[in-house]
Amino acid sequence: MRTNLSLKLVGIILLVALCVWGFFRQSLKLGLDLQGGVHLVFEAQDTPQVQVTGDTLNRVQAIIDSRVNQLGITEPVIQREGERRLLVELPGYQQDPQSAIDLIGKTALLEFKNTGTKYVEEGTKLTDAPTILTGADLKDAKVGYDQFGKPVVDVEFNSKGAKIFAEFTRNNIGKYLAITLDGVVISCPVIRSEIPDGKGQIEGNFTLASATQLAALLRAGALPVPLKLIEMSRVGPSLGRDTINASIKAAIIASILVMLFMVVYYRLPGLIADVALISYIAILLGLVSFLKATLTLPGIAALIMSVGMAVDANVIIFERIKEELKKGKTVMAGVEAGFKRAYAPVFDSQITTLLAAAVLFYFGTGPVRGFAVMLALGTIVSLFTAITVTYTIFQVIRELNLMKDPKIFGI
Amino acid sequence: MGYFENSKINIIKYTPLWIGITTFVIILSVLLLFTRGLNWGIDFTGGTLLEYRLGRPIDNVGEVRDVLKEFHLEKTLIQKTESNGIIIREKELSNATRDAITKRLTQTFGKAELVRQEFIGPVIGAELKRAAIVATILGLLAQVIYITIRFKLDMAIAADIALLHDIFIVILAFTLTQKEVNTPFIAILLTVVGYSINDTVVIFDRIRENLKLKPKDSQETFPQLVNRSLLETMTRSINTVLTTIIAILVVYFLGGSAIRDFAFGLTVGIATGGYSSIFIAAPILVLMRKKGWAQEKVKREEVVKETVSTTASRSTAGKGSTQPSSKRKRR
Repeated sequence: MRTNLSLKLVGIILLVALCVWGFFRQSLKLGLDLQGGVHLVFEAQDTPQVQVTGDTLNRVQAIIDSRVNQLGITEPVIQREGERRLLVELPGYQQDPQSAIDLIGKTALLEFKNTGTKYVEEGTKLTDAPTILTGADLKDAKVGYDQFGKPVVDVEFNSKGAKIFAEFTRNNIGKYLAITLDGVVISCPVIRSEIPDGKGQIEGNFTLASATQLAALLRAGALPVPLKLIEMSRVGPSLGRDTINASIKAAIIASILVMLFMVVYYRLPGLIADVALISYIAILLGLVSFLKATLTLPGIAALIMSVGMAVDANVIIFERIKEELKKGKTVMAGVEAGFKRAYAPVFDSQITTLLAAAVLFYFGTGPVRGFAVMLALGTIVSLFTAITVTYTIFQVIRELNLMKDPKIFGI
Repeated sequence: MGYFENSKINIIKYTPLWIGITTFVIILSVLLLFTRGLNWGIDFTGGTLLEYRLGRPIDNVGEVRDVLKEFHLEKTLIQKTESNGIIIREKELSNATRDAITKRLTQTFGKAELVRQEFIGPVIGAELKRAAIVATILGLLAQVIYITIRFKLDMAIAADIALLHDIFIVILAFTLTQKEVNTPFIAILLTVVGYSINDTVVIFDRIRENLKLKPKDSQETFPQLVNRSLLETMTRSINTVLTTIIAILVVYFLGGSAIRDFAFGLTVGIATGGYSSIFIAAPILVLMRKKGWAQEKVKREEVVKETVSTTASRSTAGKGSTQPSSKRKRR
């Protein structure tokens, strides 16, 4: 066998092996629709004081980042979308999505307000009382317990905050202090003595969970602008699992059917196309895991459909070869001419699919984008396998002197 | 083995029929689009979706509707997915209502697992709709530009008319079945756009090649040449559509409820994409070139006449004559 050809063959085998290895070494990155999880989109709202700008959104993102960290989710996604939107994806989050929305979307503006001699009931909205300190003056917040073992939130002011707090408590002994979260009173204690060290305790109607959440929110800081939830979706893990199982089954059966069709219709070349198709599937899956592309349900549909499309180039080439053979060319001359003449239509027809995938990628989000990526990858890989891989196998067969009878083309 | 390879079927001859069918389909599609309309999903309308897996199979959604009536949700859309799966769509549901529904469903059916829930704000819906339209138009434009660069403008126009037809067919399929239209619908449209063009390109490429290889003295008319090109590429056109449809049909039947509508749309689109390349794009190209071709044919005939007259003059000079028309038989 010529060295050139041997090199090509070895190269292809190595590439396929590498891709198979990559695929099995690294688990595929699954979209939320497949592995389950919560997807949220928030929109930042203007307030009379603050107009949402790119800078505001950056700060919001940083705060949400640290809030999401509290959830202990592996590989959460927090991404800006346009001028005032933030996308949050929590893979594998199985609780009620509302708990995630509460944690992430809350403004969490903590205020210490002077209500003088007036006691304000918990849960009332308090806007008019003068603010002494805010959550921005805090150094730390964590869960603690009062003397009755009830959960509380222990807060510690920074030096500036501690000074103001000490002065205020000194001057207002016996009066009330309202602690509000986003304008709603959570606690309204009486000031019994001066608090000089900047350490305080928020006693509210807390459960351990709600105290933990408030502490986390206070540590992360308040959002500069309120957020509004505009999109939410949650897929349970069982649905995702069922979908994956169904898709794997569909993928295998579809591949087998397409391969059967090719071998029945095109005989030996069909078999060659099938080998190319197997390498196509291997390379595509390897590429998806190498590129860490997210596999979504529409993406899987694209993958399976692309198995049917991938043989298209082979169909074009084989039909061409058959025509050349009918003109009386020898088998190998026919193969050569067939490949050469089929390049233009194969290329042109694949580019159009790529164009569609590009537009789709640009406009699509989430699952649709996953579809576009798979469609594009599939198109590119199929160009390689249907042309290069198939042609190489043809050459090998010629070298081994196995191909002389036009009947192998099903003529 | 090939389909119609040696047949004498004249597809181009029936151009008026194809155009009639196409016009009918497009008019029907537009009519239904405006009267019946598409069943927009919550991606586009905004709203809440809840998907449950119930403890036992249900025969019809009536049982679920009875439960929802307790919550004064008479107009809620309820859809069965699997034997024991249901999807509930409402404008906006509070968490409290949702939890109450889950509780009542659990009581009624033994189990009600909330496997999926979605909420889409109304603003997003409107935006997505706009993006979908822009994406489709841009997709179409990109194809026209590409075909114009690689082929010719009239070929691009012919291909695009076929494309429009395909889009209308997909829309027709969704208005007729009232399947839900969500964001993956854009993916269906654009895939169909790419796929349909793909089919057309291969046929046009053959037409272009046959034109180039055409002997100077060939009497084959342009419609005949297009017809021959269609028959030559017919096996490919059919096989490609077949393999792709085999694959996507498997997804339709085995891929699970979540992807069924998507696979349905793709199947329709790919089938019509294959059809339109043969029966719309090519005949329209012939129509558009008819005028130009007629003139060219006249010119060609003049050339032929000249050769005839020269050979005739030669034959009068006593030498053997060859009829230039002997090559006319080539088809």
